[in-house]
Amino acid sequence: MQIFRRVLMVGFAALTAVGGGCQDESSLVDGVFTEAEMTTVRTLGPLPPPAVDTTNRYGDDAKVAQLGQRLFFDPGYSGAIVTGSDGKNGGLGAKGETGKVSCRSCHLGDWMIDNRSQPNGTSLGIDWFFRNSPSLVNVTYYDEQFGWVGFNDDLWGKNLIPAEFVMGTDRSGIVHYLYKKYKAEYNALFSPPLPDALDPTHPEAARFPMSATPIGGTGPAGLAWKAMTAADQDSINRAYANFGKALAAYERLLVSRNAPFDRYVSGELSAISTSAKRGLKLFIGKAACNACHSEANFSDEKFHNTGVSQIGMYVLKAPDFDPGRFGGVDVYRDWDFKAQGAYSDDRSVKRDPIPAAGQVDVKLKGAFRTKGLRNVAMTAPYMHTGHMTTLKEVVEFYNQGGGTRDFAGGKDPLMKPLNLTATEIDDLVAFMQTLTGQPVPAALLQTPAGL
Amino acid sequence: MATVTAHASLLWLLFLLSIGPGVGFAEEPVPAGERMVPEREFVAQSERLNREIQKLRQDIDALREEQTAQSQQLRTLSPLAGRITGYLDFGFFYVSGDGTGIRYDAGYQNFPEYRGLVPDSWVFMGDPLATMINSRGDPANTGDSRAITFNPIHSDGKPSFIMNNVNLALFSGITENLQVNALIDFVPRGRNVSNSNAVFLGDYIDVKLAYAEYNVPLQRFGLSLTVGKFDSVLGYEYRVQESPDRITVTPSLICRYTCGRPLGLKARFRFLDERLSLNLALTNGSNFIEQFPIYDEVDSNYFQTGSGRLAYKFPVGAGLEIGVSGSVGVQDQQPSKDVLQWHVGVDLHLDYRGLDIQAEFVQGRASGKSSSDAVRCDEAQCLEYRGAYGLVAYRITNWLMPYARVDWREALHESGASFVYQSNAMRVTGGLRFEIGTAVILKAEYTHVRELGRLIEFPDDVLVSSLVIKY
Repeated sequence: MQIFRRVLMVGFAALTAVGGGCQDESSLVDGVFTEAEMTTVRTLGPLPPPAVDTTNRYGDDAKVAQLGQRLFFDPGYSGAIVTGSDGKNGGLGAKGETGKVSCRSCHLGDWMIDNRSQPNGTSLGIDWFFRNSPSLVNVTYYDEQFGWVGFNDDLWGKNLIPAEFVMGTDRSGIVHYLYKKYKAEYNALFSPPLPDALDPTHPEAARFPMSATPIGGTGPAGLAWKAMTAADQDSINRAYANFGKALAAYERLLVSRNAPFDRYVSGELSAISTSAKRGLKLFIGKAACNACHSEANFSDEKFHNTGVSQIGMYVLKAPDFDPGRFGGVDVYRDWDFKAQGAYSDDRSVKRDPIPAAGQVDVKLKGAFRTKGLRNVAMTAPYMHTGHMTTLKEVVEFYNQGGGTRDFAGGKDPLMKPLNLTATEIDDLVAFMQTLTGQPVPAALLQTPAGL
Repeated sequence: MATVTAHASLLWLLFLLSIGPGVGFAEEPVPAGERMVPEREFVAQSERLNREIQKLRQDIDALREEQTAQSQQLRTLSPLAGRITGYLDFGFFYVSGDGTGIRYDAGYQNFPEYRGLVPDSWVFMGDPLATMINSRGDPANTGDSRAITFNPIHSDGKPSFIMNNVNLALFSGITENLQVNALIDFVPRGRNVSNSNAVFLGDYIDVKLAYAEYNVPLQRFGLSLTVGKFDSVLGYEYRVQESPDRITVTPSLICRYTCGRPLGLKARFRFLDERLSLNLALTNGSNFIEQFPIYDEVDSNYFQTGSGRLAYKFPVGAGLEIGVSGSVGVQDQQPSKDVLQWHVGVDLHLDYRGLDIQAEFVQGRASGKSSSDAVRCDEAQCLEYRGAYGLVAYRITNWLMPYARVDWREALHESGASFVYQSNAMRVTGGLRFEIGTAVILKAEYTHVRELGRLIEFPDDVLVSSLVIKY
């Protein structure tokens, strides 16, 4: 029995000794990340200054940006309100009133989101729109897909879409407004100057109808556009493009950098909490969020169908639901203000080819551009429907592998259950809260004098 | 009770007799006329008691005979009547690293071919079951694994005691040839009940076996028919996967393919004085999954899996058994009915003068189904694997058995954009097994895991011990 005991003890001692020699995971960065993981983390931050937009030669012109800020806050060029205020819906005026809706109306506050419309999922401008108004802070960090469905491949051209589609006016009307209110400033900044025939008292004023647009179809504005000469159409388009470029120059200043996450990546290890570090590890690991939310703006600028249910009073309903990118391509294809279009200042930029009509990949049905996550904690509500009000709700949505019903098309193959625990969900939320950068300078958020 | 009373009376009488003349009565003189009466009474009483004692002795002998007979009868009949046995398995483990047998391919550094197809953090290197820590095959941690998400241990690299399982084996002989068996594990595991999204169970019951077996009364060969949930017929290891039976603490890397317990029908033929055996089974495919062994108990595909094993036992020592086995059927847990799975294997077991040698090689494939060339295996998972193990154990004394095992598995497991597992790992295990009496077994082993090929090497060695108490 004594021998037995000795053997037993020796055996266990030997095994324990060997066990003590087990390898150990060493050289973790901050005790959390492997070097390979840290390499991935460094692709997400710190957020650099915005890259030059070569398609907009005025993009970094301070005076053009000042004009842009005025145009952004100016409701004067908007058309007649279709859905007026009922005292509860946050409406901007009575039905039929004009000059009540500016860009700022739906991009409010420090983070330029719509917290006015009620219900708050989608936005009420001239009329109810069927998607949520996204934040414009850091919008300049997108390279080539702007808006929920990539309506355009440059920022200035994207600005022109709501101006003409949802503000109750058209390009000719806006150019007339520019002439009426901003002629001197415009002509000082842009060349060629606005045509004098835009003056309603000019003998040739009929060359430039007050309402005319190529997207007007067979309506009065469409017919008026077709009646214009090509040179006059070009004059309108060029001035309209410059309107968009001025807005873009202002938007390029709406930058929020130096978030706690950025400081952490730069080496300030205490900049984010332990929970946030775990969340970051999940973000690039188990949850694979960075498969789509990649690069410093946390967006791959690709289109994914995550299965967001069309929930909300004014979203597009069954049977077709919201076509997403599948429908957006048609607008983009025929838009005059693409990066490689006639009004771009750099047509050499590379963009993905635009599929011909009828040849749009059906997988794009219900797909939306990956939203950048910078300042995401400050920009609720979430999703294009705006029906999710908290980040936790969003993470839980992805944890389940996305939605299961009431959306167009089929879900992206990446939409799989993530198997996250409640703690891990909290950690991911904690991480996303570290993406809130310094606020935009107050002067950029104030209504310019005279408006 | 009667026996006790009789013995007490006799002792009391003897006591009285022994002390009577020499002690009490000698000291107190009694009148002469009065002494004769008590002596006669004593003699009569003594005789009467002697007769009673004799009678009681006869009764006791009769009872003893009856008890012996009944005990013998009971022992004879017990295999047919019923039996409840089981064991308790308590252990300690430590797995280096974070406790998982996998790491993801951060930045596609090792498998760039998956860039744009599968997120890099869903491209796994290693074997999620390489860090098994008990006979049930529980990995110490599944970590970020996506194919295997059930994480009942969740060690995160911490050492821990663990109650592996409390086992209950039920047996009932219905008739001379018909038996019913059940094997149940009660598995105590942690659970955060506040987590509604949890993917773990907490304490759970695992009905591992539940079957009826009929031994067909034939003269020329042996035949038993089984229905229910029974042991696999593939390879050898499935026969020794319970803690008391298994020499090692942990299963081999290929046990996942051969140790499953499917539902269905089985026939076992025995020829040539039981030297040649043939097992045939038609079952759900649930023993063929790249997954922690909690199966779909109801088949989730459209047809069953056929499997079989042919083995011959040579008269070397206690027996040298060599077998070949295989299975084919519709892949389990897949929506597609036109995806086939197949598995083949060879196995060897030698028991020679205290030397126990086991070896197996397996290979198999489930071809999966892809919706397009761009996205592989998204409609049905693809799995291709090869693996083997060799185990040598030597019984030095009747209570001490050192052992060594080498096992290896190479596999590719894909599921669309959801995951890829690039597995190529070899493990070397050394251990000691102590048998203390007939009811207590103590085992301890250390396993070094080495990743091979294009996989990075990472810490995932395993130290485990197991105290098994049978009852």
